[in-house]
Parts: sequence; structure tokens; C-alpha cells
Amino acid sequence: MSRTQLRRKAKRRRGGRFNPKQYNDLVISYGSISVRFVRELMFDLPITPVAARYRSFRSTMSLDLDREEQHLLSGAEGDGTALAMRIVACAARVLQAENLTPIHAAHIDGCLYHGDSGVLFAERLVALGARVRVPTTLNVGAIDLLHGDRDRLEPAAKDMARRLMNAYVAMGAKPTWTCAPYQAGHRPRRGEDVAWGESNAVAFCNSVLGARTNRYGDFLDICAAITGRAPRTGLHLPENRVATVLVDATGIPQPYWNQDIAYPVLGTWLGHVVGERVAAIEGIGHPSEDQLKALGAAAASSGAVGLFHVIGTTPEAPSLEVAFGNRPPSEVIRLDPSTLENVRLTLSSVRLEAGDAVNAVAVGSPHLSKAELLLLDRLLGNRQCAIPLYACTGRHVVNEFSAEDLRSFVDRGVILVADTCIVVTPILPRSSGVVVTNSGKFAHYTPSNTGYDVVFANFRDCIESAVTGSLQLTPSFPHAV
Amino acid sequence: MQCEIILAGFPEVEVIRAKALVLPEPISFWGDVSSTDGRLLQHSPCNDRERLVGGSALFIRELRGSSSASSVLLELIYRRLAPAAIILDSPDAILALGAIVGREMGWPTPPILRLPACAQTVVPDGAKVVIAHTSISFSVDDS
Repeated sequence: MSRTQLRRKAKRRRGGRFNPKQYNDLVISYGSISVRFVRELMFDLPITPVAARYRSFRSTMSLDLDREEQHLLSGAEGDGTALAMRIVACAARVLQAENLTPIHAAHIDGCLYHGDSGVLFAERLVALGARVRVPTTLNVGAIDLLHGDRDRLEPAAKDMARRLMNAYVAMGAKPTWTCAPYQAGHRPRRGEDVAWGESNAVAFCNSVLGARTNRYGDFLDICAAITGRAPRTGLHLPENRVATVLVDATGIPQPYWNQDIAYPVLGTWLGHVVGERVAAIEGIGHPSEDQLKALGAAAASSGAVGLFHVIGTTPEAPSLEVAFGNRPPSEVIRLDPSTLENVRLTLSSVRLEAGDAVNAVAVGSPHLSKAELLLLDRLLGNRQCAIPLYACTGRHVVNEFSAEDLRSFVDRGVILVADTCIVVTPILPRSSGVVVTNSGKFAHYTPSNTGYDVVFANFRDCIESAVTGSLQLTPSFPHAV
Repeated sequence: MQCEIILAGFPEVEVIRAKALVLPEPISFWGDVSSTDGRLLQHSPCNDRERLVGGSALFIRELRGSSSASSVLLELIYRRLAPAAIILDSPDAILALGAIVGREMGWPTPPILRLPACAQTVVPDGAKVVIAHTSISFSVDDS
């Protein structure tokens, strides 16, 4: 019922005694709930059950639910499961899926605090008795639970962020708190249907593991985990996983691909140009897992990339023929050095010269693997950081280091951040300044999410900048090769 | 113009009147829109920084990026700072999820409509938009 209708109805009831101010005060007195409930409270009517609202939902396509799915929807497995099933079904209709697919695992991005609404939703699921049905890992939260003082959240927000994280654990998800679950032991098998959230994890899961997931947003991820079902559409369907765009990188000299900056740069370009289409990349050799992680994370930040193939490296692309399903590409894009150099420049929000003062260095988006943290350790050596060096990683990596190792990071001025990272929660000091990073994802989100400017540099230059407190910038391709 | 309903609003409103906020460049709800006040954080070619999405008919030709977009929309819905209607080029489940959950929670939720990007281009930024079910019309204030 709209506000005007409510007002008309109230006016009719009060007749000549209708007082607009009194009416407005009365409406406000019910707090910030929907008008239709105000009507029910104001006129002492019974509150209509939530399910009745779905009568208003139009769908051009029918969604087939099997017996088990109807059972979950009926509430026989609890109201929480029924609520989750309603949301999965509604999302399936939006996506125009004809039916649902069983999923084997889930990775949940909804545990990051964006405001009280998400907490209220998660707590409603908990209150209604919802539990995950499949092995489920959790993405970053807003609090570093290992080092409680990393964030600058206000006490009220911190309390809500903690409530949110607790709610997801209460539903049976594993407290992994990492955006690189695939490096924390969660590795679905090739061809398996899963429901993953967090854009970089989705790109990795599809592209590098060959498991099948769409880019599940907050809320659908947990509902899929609770019901064990997801809309059968998009990248769950084999025909949508075939490449249509060929990215020909054979025109780029091979040494370029030995630089770690090559992958966030290529990924950023891929996201911009290819977006949601499926690309197969040829001519970049055999990138390592960490390089593919950087590529996917950057691609999923600058565009809606959920799946890409690297010919000869990723599981669904042993050859061009297989990657393209024996069909010709709909588009062939030849990469040239100047394109990549231009993309590299766009990853910095401010143009600084080598030697200019910078305020902090941040690495680890996606979370650093153990190998990457060991490399940081080696590059830093016995030197002390002149400015904060934030190294974001998961507890699965932190737990691999001894207390002594961890103390040595602290002693050298490295700020280890676990369970979260610098762009999803306020960690950087309140003042503004310039952050140096090697991450395409940090480069993308740092200006808008932290207010800091960002300079993109390779991993070694990041560490050197932290030691000297000034930007160290090794000339990169095309100058370097 | 005729649009399709991706997701009906809650409660359903017969006629929505709102000012068009046209975003010609791809945006991500997470990173480009503040969840606390609905401000556009990302600069765009029409200098949209600081503009508020709240109450607008928000035309988005391309959505980009993060899977946290649904949370940002849900928070705007919860705070009563959501657009009056969201018009997309194609159905986007991530954004729709924010609205689906908003409806489940019983909070006033804007409809999400589909209008192809090419059809969206005729709507000028700032135009007065009237949305009645699946019909979208607009007028430009000359003053």
C-alpha cells in the first residue's frame, strides 16, 4: 500500500477529526518500517505473512523446482531454509533460469560488514535456524580477528561487524576469512558446480580450478549454501564456458611476462575490453598460480570477468580448438606493447617520479600466499621499513609461521593484516596520502575506498619504497625489454 | 518507452515520478556509491561526484565489478536512501539480490527494470521521469 493510499484510508476513518500533523507523527512513531506494516499496526490488522508478498512477483518464465527443492521451500526443513530457498528461487527467476543446480561447496562474501542491513539479514537467518548444507568457507570480514586493533572502526560499527562474522559462523561456515580460499585448502574439483562469492575468487575458481560458479553476490551465496542449490544458468552451463574472444599476446616480447606487474596490467585490460565475455589468452607462456590470481583479481575489478582461459595452462584450454569448442573466435584482439603500457599508467591515480615521498605500501589483494609472504621476507631482508608496509593475508598463511617469524615481521615494520584488508575496512591512518601497491585490485579500489592516492609498482619496488619511504620505480616494459 | 520488470518493487507503486540520474559509464555499486548516504563516489564524465542516487530514476548502462553490490543496495534500501527505480541494460542478479532481500525484510524496495542501453541513451540526465508499470516516459524541464 502506498503512502497516499494509507493517508486516504486514515482520513476516511478519522473523518472531520483528521489532523495532518497528528497523522504524520503517528506514521513516524512506527519507526523505519515499511508503510504496509504501519497500516497493519495503525489499524490493528493482522500482519500479512511474507510469502503472500510474492503474489505480486511477475515472472515471464516458469521455474521448475524438483521435489527436494519444493520440500525446502515448504518450510519442512525450517523457516530459515525456506527463506533461503525463496531467495534462491527469486534470483533464479531474475536470471531466467529454468531450474536449479545442486552445488557441492560455497564461498561466502556476505560476511563483510557494509552496514547494519546485512547484519539484520544474517541474524534473521540464524534466528530462523538456517544452517549451511555444503562445505562453506568465508571471505574477509571487516575485522582482523587475529590482531584486534588493526581497524579504525567506530565501536558501534565494530560491534556490528563482529555480530555479522559471528552470524555466518553460527550457520556452520568455516571461519577462513580470506579472499583466496583456493589457497586455504578450498579447491573444488574440475567440472564441479559450486556457489562462490568475491569476484577474484570466482575468476580463479572458474578459470584456474575449472569448477563452475557464477559471480554470486552477497546473500545469494549464503542462501545457496543453506539450500545446496543455485540457479542453473551462466557459467554452470558448459556451453557458456567456451571462449569467444581470442586475445593474441604473441606480439609482446616474452620477457614482459616474467615481470609480476604484467598480470595485473593484463587483467585490468581484460576487464575493460572483454568484460563478461569469455576470453582465451595465447602467448603469455605458463603463468604461475599467483600470477593467474593477480590476473583474475585485476580483471574482476575492472570488469565483470568470471572466467578466462590461458591456452596451454588453464584446465579447460589445453588447446585453442578445445578452448573455443572447435568454433572460430567471434573476435580476435592482438595486444601490443603500447596498449599494455597505457593500462599500466592508468593503474596509478597520481603521477609521481621515482624518489617522491609516499606514505604507505600495501600488498596482498588477493591475500598473499605463503610463497608471496616468504618473498616479501626475503626482499626485505634485515632492513627496517621507513613507512608502514601492510601485508594482507589469510590466517591460513599466518598460521604457517612461527611466533618468532611473526615477531620478526613486526620488528621490521611490517604490519601483517589477516582476515581482512586495507580496502574493505578502515586500516590506513585517517590522513590522506599515497599508497604504493603491486595489486591491480588495490590500485582499483584504494582511491574510492580509502581516500588515498595510489601508485602501481612491481613487488620489489613496493618493498624498496617501504624501506626508503620514497617511491622506487624500476622502468618497466617497454623500456625494460 | 516500454521496459521489462526484472524485479517488482515493494510495496508496488502505481506511478513513480523521479528525476533521471544517468550514468553513461560503467559503475560498480561497491566502490562507486556510498552505502551510508548514496553519494556517487566515482567521478564520471558528467561530473557526477557528490550526486545522490537516493530518490532518483537511476539509469545504469553497464554494471561493473564487485559481488558486494547487493549489500550496498540493501543498505541504501534499509536507510531509505535507495533510488526510486533502477533501470539496467540487462538483468543483474547481484544488484537484484539487494532488492530481493530488501523485500524479504519488509523494507520499501525500488523496482529494478530493464531498458536496453541503446534505448537509455535518449533519456537526458536530469529529465523528469514517470514510470507507470512497464512504461517509462520523460520530459525535460526547459526552465
